[in-house]
Amino acid sequence: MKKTTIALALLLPVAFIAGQYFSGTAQQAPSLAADVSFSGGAAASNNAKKSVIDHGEVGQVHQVKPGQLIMDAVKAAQPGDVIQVFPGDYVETVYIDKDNIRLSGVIIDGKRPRLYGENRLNDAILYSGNNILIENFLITKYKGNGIMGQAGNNFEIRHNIIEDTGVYGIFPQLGINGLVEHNVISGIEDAAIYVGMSDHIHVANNEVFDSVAGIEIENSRHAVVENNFVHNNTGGILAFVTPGLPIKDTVDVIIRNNWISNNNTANFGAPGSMVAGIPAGTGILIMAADEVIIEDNIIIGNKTAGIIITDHQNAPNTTLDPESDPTPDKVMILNNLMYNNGYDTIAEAKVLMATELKQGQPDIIRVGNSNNSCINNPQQYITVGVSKWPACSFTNTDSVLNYLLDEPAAPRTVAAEEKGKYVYLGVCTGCHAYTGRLIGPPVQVIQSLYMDEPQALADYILNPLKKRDDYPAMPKQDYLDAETRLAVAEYMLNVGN
Amino acid sequence: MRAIFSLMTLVLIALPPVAVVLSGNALATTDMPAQAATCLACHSAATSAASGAPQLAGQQATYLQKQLQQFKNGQRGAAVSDVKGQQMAAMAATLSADDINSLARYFSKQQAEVITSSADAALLDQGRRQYIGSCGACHGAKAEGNMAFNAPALSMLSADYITLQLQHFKTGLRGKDKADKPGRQMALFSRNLSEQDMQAVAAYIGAGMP
Repeated sequence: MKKTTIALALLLPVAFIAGQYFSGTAQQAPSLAADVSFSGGAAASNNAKKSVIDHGEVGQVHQVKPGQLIMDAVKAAQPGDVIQVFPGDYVETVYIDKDNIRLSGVIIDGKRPRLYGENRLNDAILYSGNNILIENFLITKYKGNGIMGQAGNNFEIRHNIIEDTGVYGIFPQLGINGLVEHNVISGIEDAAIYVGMSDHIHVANNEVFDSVAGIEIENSRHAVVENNFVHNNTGGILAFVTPGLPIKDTVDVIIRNNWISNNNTANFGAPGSMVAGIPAGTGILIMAADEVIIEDNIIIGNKTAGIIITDHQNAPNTTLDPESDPTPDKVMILNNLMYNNGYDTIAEAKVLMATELKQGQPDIIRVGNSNNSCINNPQQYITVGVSKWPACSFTNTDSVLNYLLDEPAAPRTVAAEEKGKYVYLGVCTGCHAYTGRLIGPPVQVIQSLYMDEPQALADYILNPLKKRDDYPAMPKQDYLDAETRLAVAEYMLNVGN
Repeated sequence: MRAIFSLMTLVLIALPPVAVVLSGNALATTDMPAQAATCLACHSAATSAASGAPQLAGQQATYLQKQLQQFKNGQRGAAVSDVKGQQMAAMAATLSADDINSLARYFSKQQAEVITSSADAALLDQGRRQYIGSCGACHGAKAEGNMAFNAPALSMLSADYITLQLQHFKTGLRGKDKADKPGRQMALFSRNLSEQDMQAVAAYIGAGMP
């Protein structure tokens, strides 16, 4: 041991000098060679790197260095091109409205490119194209979103670090077939990872903490959330049906092998917003979502409860949507390690427990209705509201590797006359539900305020003015052109629930 | 109610000089327009429940001014079915433009007295969701109103008055005139509300937004 230390000590100055010498040469970006697997294993692994994009031939490589704008490279890029961003600060909003772009940070000596919003800019990266890959960035101090997808299919968002960026950290909205992997996200006012109105999604191996909601699967179908470290949020992992959104259900979600601990952070969501209703100390929250499987998670130290299952009627800050089923049906709780949850629970939970003549610290709380739900080995948990649930007919989800599509989804193409609709679905509904308060005021209120004046609304979204003390400021939508702004305003003023 | 009274007593004991100023303000005499006493016969905190007239104290001057003008020129309170509105229209007819301005300014500077009615807990819960989900976006988190939208304060209004006005907006008795943009905005929104929604949100505001 000692000899090694000495040898290392001798080597260090050499390495330092060598480093000095080589740093004079140009910084090298990594090659774009294909992955090669270790050949020693006998059986195929579940760990195979997933990809949802067929990148095809690598097109041109655009290199962006400090002092330059990433956006200039995006403008110059053609579908198939790679944009490599070198370490340094970039103060801008990147908007990718073309298909097949790889936006790749280059990490050198541990330094990655930093997108820096100066607490002034709203969004770091927005994309509306299909087949978009975004990796290796450090994103911080934006007011709105870190990375937001706006109706783009087949996306991969990985290896990003996102700190203190406003409302949503990573937010794919209305996307089919997407991966959110190996990201570290913290300090978000709503959800660190928010999968909104999307299908076939895989959220894995992320660390999310110090946010109001860790990972939120909302009005989305076929999602696996696995192997994430979810700690010190207000609520850890959420499967929600949010009333008043154009997609009306959340179905088929697997939450497995996550580490969900100490999600006891005081709720700092905007008062009155839906997430502001989450009680601090919630490990997993299922609201009105159907067919949610909860398996093999480690759920510890969440002071209100390990798992809460609720319908819309019993959830705070929600309004009912006649088009949405408010009941969480077919919730399936398999084996999980639950320990030391519910040690400082809410009064409502205590009342519920009293009705079952129970005391103690609840691991699982179910309020309101739930049909055809099941639970394995319930005796191991302290529960309320699930004593009549039968055992599930299975014990694991091993047969489901993921819910990603075998072939990439067809790129979403938007006809000119549908532009307003897709911007509404892909952008507006991220914060505006038809009824009720999501982040901004409901669409019904906006329709009443603007009535037959779409141009006034289009002008407002270009340059919003804060008018409500108790709502966050609306971010500028200036990356949309004038025609699109008017189209979406017209669509919004006429849309129904 | 008793709690409020005992609190007031406490304030009087603890802070006599301030209390004197406050009570002087509440009864403000020097700049009180001559007609204000007539208004208060129905619109005071003590009489509003019996008369069905809204409290005016603390309401935005621009809103009061506009409503008085509308009562006077027949945009509000002209319909046969709107009995209370007709009473108000008759009163407004006697006011000059100057009267209207000074009354509006005067009442906007007074402090409303909080009168709360009780209601069923489930109704209040529904009303609270409704209020936070929609109404608060323009009328403010505490129903204090928001001048940016010309949205009046609602906090001093009774459940009955709010319900009636929502019905008027929905049925077209209010918010019909082309030039009355805030009224038209409210009328459009009120069409999203069922009778039950109106009852709930009115009960919630009338109960002091518990």
